Amino acid sequence: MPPGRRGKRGNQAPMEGSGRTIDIFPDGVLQHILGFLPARDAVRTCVLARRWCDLWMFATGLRIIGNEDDDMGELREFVDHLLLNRGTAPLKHSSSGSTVQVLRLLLTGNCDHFNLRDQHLVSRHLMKLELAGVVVTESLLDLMGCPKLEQLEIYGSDLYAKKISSESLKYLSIASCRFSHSFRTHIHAPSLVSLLLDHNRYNFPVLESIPSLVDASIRIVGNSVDTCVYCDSGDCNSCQGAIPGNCNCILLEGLSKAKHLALTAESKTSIFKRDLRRCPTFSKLKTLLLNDYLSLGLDLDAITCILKHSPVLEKLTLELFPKGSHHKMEIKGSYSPPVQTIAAISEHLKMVEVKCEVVDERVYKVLKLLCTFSIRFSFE
Amino acid sequence: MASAGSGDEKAAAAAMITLISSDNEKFEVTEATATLSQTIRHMIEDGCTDGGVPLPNVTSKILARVIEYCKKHATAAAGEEGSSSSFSDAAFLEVDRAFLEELEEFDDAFLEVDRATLFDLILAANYLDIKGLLNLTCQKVADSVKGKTPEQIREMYNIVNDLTPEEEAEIRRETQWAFE
Repeated sequence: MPPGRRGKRGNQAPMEGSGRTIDIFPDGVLQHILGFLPARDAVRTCVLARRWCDLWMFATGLRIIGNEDDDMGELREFVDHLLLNRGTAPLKHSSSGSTVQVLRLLLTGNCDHFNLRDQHLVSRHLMKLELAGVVVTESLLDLMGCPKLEQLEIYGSDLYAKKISSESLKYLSIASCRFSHSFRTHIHAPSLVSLLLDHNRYNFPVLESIPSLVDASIRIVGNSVDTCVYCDSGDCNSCQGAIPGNCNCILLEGLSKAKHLALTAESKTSIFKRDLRRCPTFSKLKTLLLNDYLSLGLDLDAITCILKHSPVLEKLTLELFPKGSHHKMEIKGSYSPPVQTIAAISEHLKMVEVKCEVVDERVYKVLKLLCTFSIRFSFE
Repeated sequence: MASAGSGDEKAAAAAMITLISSDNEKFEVTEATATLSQTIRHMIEDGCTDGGVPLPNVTSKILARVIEYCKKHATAAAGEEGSSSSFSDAAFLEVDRAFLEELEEFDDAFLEVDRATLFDLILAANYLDIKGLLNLTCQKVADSVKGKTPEQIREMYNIVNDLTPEEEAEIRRETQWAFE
């Protein structure tokens, strides 16, 4: 018996040997192919032949890619047309006709960021959304209208939203973006599995509870993230990032259920310090990577605090060299728990790695600290 | 039955499935390889794979290529699972980069086929519901169309324009915003 269930895109079984025109494909396949084309190219296929007139409206992906030399006004008009013409204006208000699974809006170049104010995404099918080089406001990032959305990637954009919310989101990546100067964006994504926040500027977002989190990687670079030239502790009121009287965690509470965590501080930031004063317990954390070669945000106190609050930690990696460069030395250690005393840190810690360029005073201090936790190093 | 089974825990994964092409050639593959196809996965779940799975619409030539793809990508999937569950060495938050590169090279080489084969691969990927292969092959067709005029696309892919000149002019008017 031939397979009982056919491929998703509908359709007939293949008929080999027939003429090699692209017309041998069922609509579903053609719509899939159109989904890989830049939107303008996809729309232009409407004049190919009768069969192609409406195909683009049901493409499974929508890729809007702008270049430096594009006129933004024209592009805006194009996007408006596109969204209005697609079936029942699926991306704007109503959604029933939308078949888009991937929406990609990438605008590169030095042009002013493309403003997506007041756009609202509602789609029953949308699974992946990619944005680059755009200005997004709250309405777009309220993604409750996209119940299947699993992946959101935002790159090089301005995010002026008080809240990013999605119940379904599993993968979130925000890199090289600018958040607001004046308020913190809250991220409400309780189903997240994987989170990447890298090289963003201005007020760091507040992470709400993420019980399902597995992997998270946070990298703070540049001088404009929650830094203060006046104080080191992060609680002076002149701090741009500090919220006076606010005693909630910004970052670490949301990360406290992660299994694998990488924290990198490459600029003087008060965020870790502030959060660590109310350090949550990292109840599931198994692997932890800390990179702070200049001892800017993750100093000895921070390492101590996180270690003490990670009861099931199995592997600790400390990178004390600039990201991107190669480390020359790797010092490996393991935990040998003291007999008959209550362990101060995870009993499951099997592997500790310290990577550095040179063993300087900073590295020495870290090694010494780790020794006080009964971590023994071997030099082979 | 699993001749290449290595290690106890692999025994389950090494259960073999027989796929039968339209020209009656038999291919023995592991379940892990076969289940990259959603169509076959459903058949296995429904318990109707005993005695082999006939695929009357896929020739042995194409099926061999499809299996080649699935084998490679099934290894990739297994590798990923293995490294995250047993947190061995450098696998921290990064999937093994070297392997990903190798996979990419494999995909590039895999796509170096004539158009007839590419089309057959697309049809087979669609029929067998192998998402990765379908994306890979559809992307290749999309890349070949990118930036081309409708006339060029018609010529390239033997599309007969069955629109009257008036109809075509009207559609162009309606979608002028995309042709500017």
